[in-house]
Amino acid sequence: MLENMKDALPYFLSYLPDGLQFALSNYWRVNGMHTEEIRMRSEQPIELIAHHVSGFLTRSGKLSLDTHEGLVIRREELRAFLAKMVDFSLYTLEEELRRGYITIAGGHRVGLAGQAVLRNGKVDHLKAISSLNIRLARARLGVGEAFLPYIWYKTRVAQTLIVSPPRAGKTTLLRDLVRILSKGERRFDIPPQRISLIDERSEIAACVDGVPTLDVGPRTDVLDACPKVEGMMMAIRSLGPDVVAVDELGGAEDMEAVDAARRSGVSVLATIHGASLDEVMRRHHVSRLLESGAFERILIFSRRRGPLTLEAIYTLGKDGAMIKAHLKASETGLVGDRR
Amino acid sequence: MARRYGQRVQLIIALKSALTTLETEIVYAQNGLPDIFKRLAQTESELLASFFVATHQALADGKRHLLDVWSELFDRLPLKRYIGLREKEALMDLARSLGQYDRFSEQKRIQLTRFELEEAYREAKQNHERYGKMARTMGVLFGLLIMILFW
Repeated sequence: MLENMKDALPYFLSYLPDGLQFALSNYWRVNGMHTEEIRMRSEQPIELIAHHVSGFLTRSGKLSLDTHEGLVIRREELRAFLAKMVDFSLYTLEEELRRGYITIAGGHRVGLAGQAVLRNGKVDHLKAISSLNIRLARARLGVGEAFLPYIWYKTRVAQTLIVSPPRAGKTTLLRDLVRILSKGERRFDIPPQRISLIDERSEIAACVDGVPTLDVGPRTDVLDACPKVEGMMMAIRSLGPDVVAVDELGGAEDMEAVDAARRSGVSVLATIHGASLDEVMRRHHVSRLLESGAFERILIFSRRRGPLTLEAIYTLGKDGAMIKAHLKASETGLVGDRR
Repeated sequence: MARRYGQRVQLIIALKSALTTLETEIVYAQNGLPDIFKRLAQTESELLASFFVATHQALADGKRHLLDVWSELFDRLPLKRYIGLREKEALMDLARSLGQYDRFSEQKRIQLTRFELEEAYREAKQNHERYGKMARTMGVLFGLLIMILFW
């Protein structure tokens, strides 16, 4: 499996003060590949979260559970770091400050916490940012290959929903599936597909000035920072895609847009937060969409044995019910028990 | 000496104008700070143009703090010769927070800096009127003294 980051310290960490940067570099040499999150809180030690381990960064670049050993990031240092990450232009990110996260070059998502400013009783934006949660984006080339037989249906991509809890790899999988489908895959007789990628949070293709910095394939058109609902409609109207790929479906409007897309003959490849089909079905607008037969395949993932642990696959039965399938990638038939 | 008093007044006027542009660009146009500095470099007087070009370049080169950049630039000639302590401190305070807040917080900080520059302008103008004339007279008298000595 190829990784796009190798052992290099992500470029943006060079914006940290020298002492913190030195400790992080030491840590990165050994554990960089496994690091998933970097959490920084004003006047608190920096916390690093890897696949199986988490702790506070020490001066020597190791992890410790003792807060006293952790390297503290000062309030001014954190603000200066954030300012540099956003090119000294935090004020241009109003929508992001309202939503509570920004996406920086490379597709890394930075969750924010600070003082909420209210307008008409609702959060207008955050100011005086005091915590950053940096979720590192990684393009894991090839992770999608194993799942191609599940999503390819006769001559087209099946209407597919990828379900997993946070940090289980659904965005990584979606990115790789888009890349593979865009190129086409001879081994599975999949011809190249024209794909419209609606990248609302700029973390799938990690566009800089509209140009993807992560590989999403040669036949992929990216609608960067575009709201999902409008993006799907724009893509169908003007880009003529075979597949529309969209990350993290949420509200009822998203479901309506998915329904409209599939009715127009386009395959939808989407992800949604959830731990199981039952949990997803508890959301009224999602269950309504699923019961209407909008998705032909549902892939459920967890982190039980690391990111992208496949827990279950559901396929659409003839009567419109979702059937839990017991199949391996190499298998062709679907054998299942009706739910 | 007299020229120095006059130049300080001119510099503060130019700084106030640059701050007005900065405020407009941040609050209404919402352009990024490096772009704004580039634009200011094209519109401001020669003295400030080189200051904004250097700021833009320093940020592009990866400098981490605007405060460090400006602190270094204020210590460079010719700006060092003309800038007064009051306006320098006001701008350093601004540099500490510029680009780190939402646009209305940025606006408040810029307005506060402009208010401080207004005070600095009054002081500079007063000094120019009081000591500028005196320095000019002293210059003339010193010239006469030299002439008498060599005559």
